[in-house]
Amino acid sequence: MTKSIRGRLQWWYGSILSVALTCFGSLVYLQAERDMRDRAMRQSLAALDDLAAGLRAARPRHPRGGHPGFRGESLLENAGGLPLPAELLFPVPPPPQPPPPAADGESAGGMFRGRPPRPGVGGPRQGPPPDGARPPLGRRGPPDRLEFVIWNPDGSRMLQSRGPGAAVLASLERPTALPEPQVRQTDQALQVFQLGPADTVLLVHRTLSDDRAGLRLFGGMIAGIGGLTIATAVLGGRWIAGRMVRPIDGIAGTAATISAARLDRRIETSGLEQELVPLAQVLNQTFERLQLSFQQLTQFTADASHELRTPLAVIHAETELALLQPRTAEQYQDILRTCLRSAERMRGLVDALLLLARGDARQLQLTGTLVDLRDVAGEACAQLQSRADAAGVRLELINPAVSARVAGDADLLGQIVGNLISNGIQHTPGGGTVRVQVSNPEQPELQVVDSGCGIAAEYLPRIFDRFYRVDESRGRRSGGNGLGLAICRSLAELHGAVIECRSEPDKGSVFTVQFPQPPRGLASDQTVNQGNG
Amino acid sequence: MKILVVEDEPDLLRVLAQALRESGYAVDEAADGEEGLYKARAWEYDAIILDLLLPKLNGWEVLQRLRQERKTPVLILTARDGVQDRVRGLDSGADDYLAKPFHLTELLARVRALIRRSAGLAVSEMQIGQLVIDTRSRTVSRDGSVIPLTPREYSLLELLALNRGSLVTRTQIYEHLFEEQEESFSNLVDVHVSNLRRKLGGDFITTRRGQGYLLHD
Repeated sequence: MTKSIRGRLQWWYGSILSVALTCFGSLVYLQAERDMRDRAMRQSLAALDDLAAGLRAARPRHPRGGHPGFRGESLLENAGGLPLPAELLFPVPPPPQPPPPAADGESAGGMFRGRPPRPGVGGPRQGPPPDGARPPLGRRGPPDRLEFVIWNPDGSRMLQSRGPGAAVLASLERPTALPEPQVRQTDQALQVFQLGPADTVLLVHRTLSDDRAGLRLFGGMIAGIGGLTIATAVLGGRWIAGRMVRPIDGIAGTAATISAARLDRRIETSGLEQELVPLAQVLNQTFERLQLSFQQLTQFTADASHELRTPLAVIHAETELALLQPRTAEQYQDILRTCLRSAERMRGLVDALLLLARGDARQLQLTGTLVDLRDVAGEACAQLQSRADAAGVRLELINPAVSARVAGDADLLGQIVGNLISNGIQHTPGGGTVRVQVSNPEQPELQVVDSGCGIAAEYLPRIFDRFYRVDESRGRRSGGNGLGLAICRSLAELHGAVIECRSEPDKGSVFTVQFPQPPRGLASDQTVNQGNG
Repeated sequence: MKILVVEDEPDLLRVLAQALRESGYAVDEAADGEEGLYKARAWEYDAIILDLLLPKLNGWEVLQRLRQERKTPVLILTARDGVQDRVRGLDSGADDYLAKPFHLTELLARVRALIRRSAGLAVSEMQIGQLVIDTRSRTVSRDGSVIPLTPREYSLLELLALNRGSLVTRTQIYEHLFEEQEESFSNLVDVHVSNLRRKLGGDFITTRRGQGYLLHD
């Protein structure tokens, strides 16, 4: 079974329609069959009545022998005025199409009564049926007949019709008859019999083969029309289903044309079917996010490339210049120092980029041990003391008496604190203070407070962005690469912590990192300074 | 020939200045956009090398404001090498664009070409009478034999030759030949001119008393 919506739709309504049509067709067919039998029965009963009436009318005035006598002549005269022996055959008028013919039985009976069979009619067909009606289309056999047998009370046959059915009639046993009509029926014929006047037994034999053939034809027509209807419906449904899924093709087509180079395109939702609008909207939102991250990535790559190119340009130009002409040893040393400085800067940048990339890819594995923030802060302050001294900035550390344990990685936590302190030193003029404060009121918290230049409110939302510098010159001159705070945020998020900044221009900034409570039952603090070497 | 370098990366600024000086140019330096724009407006430079991502005032701004007053040739030297950046730079009025990292020799060749074009020359050689001035090798020759000149004498001759037929004032000569922090004596120009006259012979250089000098064909 195919996976296409179109195919499935077709299959389903094809099946449902088939079942419905089959039921309907079967009902109609069964009804038609019943009508056919009813009609045959009515005709046979009418013929029986006519036979009985004919017999009564033919009752002789001078009975002969031991049994009430009949004269076949008078019977037949009464029945139709035919000379003896007549080929008694009552052709069944073809039923008008379509069934059921309510008046059919009457007309058959009427014919029997009022319109006598004519000579030769009972034999093989020699002309059109007597009532002039054309036989139903495709009828193969001879028309159905009404035939009869009359038995004398002693069991001998008094009279029987002649015709194609004579052989069948001849083989019939006299049935045990009652005054009321009784019915015997097989697939091919219907027999009705009863006691006639003067203990005669009357039997009317009604063949059914031609009716059956008509019925088969009718069944075939129902099946044919049904099949044709189903085929038409399936084909039409295919067309409709095609129209229905065409907007999906349209959406797919548009989505396919939206590539990296054309991320600004969107799926048009205005002319779309109501059911498809949510799909298009979801796709559009996805493209929106994709475009945004693509832009961020492009910007990030451009920035990273810019940051890497500048020190590279220094190394390149410096060495090229050095090689232009012979220099003194001192000049060479200067050149090498410049190159080394640039190489250091590139290394720092590459390290930072790698850290960020691994953070993005969630490749940084937290060791998952308990680390005391007090120890991390102490270690970071010790490492950066000399830089603070060189900048003329006082570095303070305020640690609480109680521990402030967080679940995480001591190395990465050290990076956060170190970056925040470096940032504070960078933006604090000589004579100022950078204070590192660990507290644990409800959850572990680390603050780095500086008395520096502060950050204007409009820049605050962007300071954690990669390569964002509030003041281009300051960052560049002090060797910052614009990634320090971005790394802080990335690493903080990795620890499930929230980092934020409050700042007031010319007064200073407060960076706060709030950590979640470590889960209970974590391996106890085994480690604290292990990674900070 | 005097060139202004506007670059906020201190190491790169130093290297560029040194390379240009070694090529015989006088070099002024500026570390941010404001300083760069100020100097570019105040003095008449033969060319400006301009970074784009500058503190205080970015390169495009500097260029746009400078173009309102001066048509000094500008070469943009930047790490931004996207096509859009180049187009924007050139459309803002830059004469040339070079991406970092760059080849020093290419930068120097482009600076020479900039100066040559702004003087209306198509090739790197100038012919004045029997003198041939080769701006690429910075040499002067007569009948195939090179006349030895000091870098400053050559620069003076090149300046006069690029403006031949018109008066070059003493102020112009100071502006084009001496860097801002150089101590120069008022008669230094006269000394160089008389040295040039002695080495070149003939009366190529005419003195206009109190105004300046003129180079005839």
